[in-house]
Amino acid sequence: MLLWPAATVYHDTAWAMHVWTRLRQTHRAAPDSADDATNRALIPYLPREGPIGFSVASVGARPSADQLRIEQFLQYSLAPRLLVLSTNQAFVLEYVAPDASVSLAHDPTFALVASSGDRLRLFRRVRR
Amino acid sequence: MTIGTVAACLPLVAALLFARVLERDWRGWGVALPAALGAMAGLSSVVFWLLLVAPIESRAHLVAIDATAWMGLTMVLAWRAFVRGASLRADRDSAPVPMSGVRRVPVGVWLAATLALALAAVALVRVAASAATLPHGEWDAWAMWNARARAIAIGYPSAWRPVVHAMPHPDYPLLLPVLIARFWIDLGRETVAVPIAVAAAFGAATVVLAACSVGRRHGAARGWLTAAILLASPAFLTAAVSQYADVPLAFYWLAAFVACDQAMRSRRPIWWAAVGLSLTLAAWTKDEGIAMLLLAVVTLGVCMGGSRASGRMARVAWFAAGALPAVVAVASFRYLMPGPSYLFSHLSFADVIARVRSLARWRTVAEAMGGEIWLGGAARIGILPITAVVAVALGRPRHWPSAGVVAAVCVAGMLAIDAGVYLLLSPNLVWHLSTSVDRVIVQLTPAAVWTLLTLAGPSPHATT
Repeated sequence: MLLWPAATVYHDTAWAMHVWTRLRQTHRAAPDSADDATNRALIPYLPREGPIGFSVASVGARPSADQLRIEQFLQYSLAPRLLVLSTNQAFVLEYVAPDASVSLAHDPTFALVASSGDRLRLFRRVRR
Repeated sequence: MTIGTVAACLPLVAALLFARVLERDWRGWGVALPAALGAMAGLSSVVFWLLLVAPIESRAHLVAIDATAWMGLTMVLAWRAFVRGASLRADRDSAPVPMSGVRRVPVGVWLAATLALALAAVALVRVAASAATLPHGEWDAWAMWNARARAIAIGYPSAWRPVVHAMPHPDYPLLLPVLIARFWIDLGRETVAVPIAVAAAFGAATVVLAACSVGRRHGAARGWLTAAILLASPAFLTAAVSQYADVPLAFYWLAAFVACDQAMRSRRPIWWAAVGLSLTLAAWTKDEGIAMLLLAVVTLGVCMGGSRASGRMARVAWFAAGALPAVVAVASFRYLMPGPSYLFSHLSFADVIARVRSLARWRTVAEAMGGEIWLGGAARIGILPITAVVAVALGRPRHWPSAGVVAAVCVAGMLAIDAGVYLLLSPNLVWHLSTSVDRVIVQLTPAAVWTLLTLAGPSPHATT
């Protein structure tokens, strides 16, 4: 009888092995490690601690599960800085979603400091 | 070797000595060593938490004070182990010499051991593959536990508290984040190897503890079978490699019941301290641990009601002594970093009444929890119904082991509490069930398997 649940364990393991093998064949890091490295590439431009603004350049008022994941993973990558969903900070990180029509890049009160990857930009407030 | 490396390793040394204090016979180390490792891992989190909130302004001082505290504890445990070792040698000198000869290992033991070792090999591959593909763990692992660990490790001494408090679910206790942060601060670098190793160690310790405890009571075949059953659980393995706190929580609950069994069988009071420590470390791991602590205290109180008052007081004193460190940690965390609970923050009496009256909610909760108990991550049938079938096939026990009864009452009570929480408190029931019911059942799975296989009839190869 144990072979029934054990078969699921085997399938889960085989899938994890498959993904691992594909990552090694393509010489790529795990997706989360790549995202973490992208996010942490901005650390030299950020203060050591304190709040950092965060905004998603996207359509739609409600944050989707994807946006929540992006925000929480950024918080994980940039800890102990505190990510706050606001543009009213000295430094603001902007995640540019594929459907973005507006961005802080068009806002004269912000200046681009650095960008990392295709989607992540760091802005500094230049005037109130 | 730096003082940080020494500090990181000292709880391991203390665990070896504590295992020696718990169990004088090397054959009992299968139970004592994982129990001691878990206890010292949890205690290292408790001590480090108290140092984190103490007015220490430098990282070097923090590491030095932590190392000093662990050296002191290690010396105390070494003294206790040395005294026990001396008494053991005296016992051994006076003990009759066992007859020599080769014992035949029964076929059942070979079969169960082969199955367990094959599943252990698969589990090992899964751990390695998941470490490579999910080094930061699943969503809740990095968002809840590892993010807090990073904030503590990088933000010490000043920046970590507001960040940890502002993270999602600020009421979640900190055993796992502080344990991981302690390693990172001691080693002087932050590496994903630490949370991966911590998760794998708790998973392995859970399997070994359950198997060796059942094996000691009912013989090697049933011990190996226990290991095979737990290793065949898809949900348990997934939770372990995902770096969730549910497997450490499951470990501490199991360790509490195993320690209770040891305390009742060996009549050595130090095991009652292990019961108290394990139950309170569970409360320092996740909020569910507080409910189980209260449930276990009431159940133990009822079970001990008929014993002599002097013996009862001694057991209570040992239990309280074991419980004290983690109780201080939980109480200081609640006092220093009070955070709103997701379940209680928007609750009104009218909501509760409406939810109780909703038959649809009752049915949704029963279907979700019943389905998870039946499947446990498997496609057709999970390990819990299979274990129940095995337990029924093994028959009724000659004597009802008291610790098994305590565990059965606590596991059933905890299931009822979980169902009640979903039913009464959850504001978004379907989402809440879909994201957590698998983990709620995983928390109870090792204790449930251990309970069923401990309570079921004796094996013909029983050892005492």
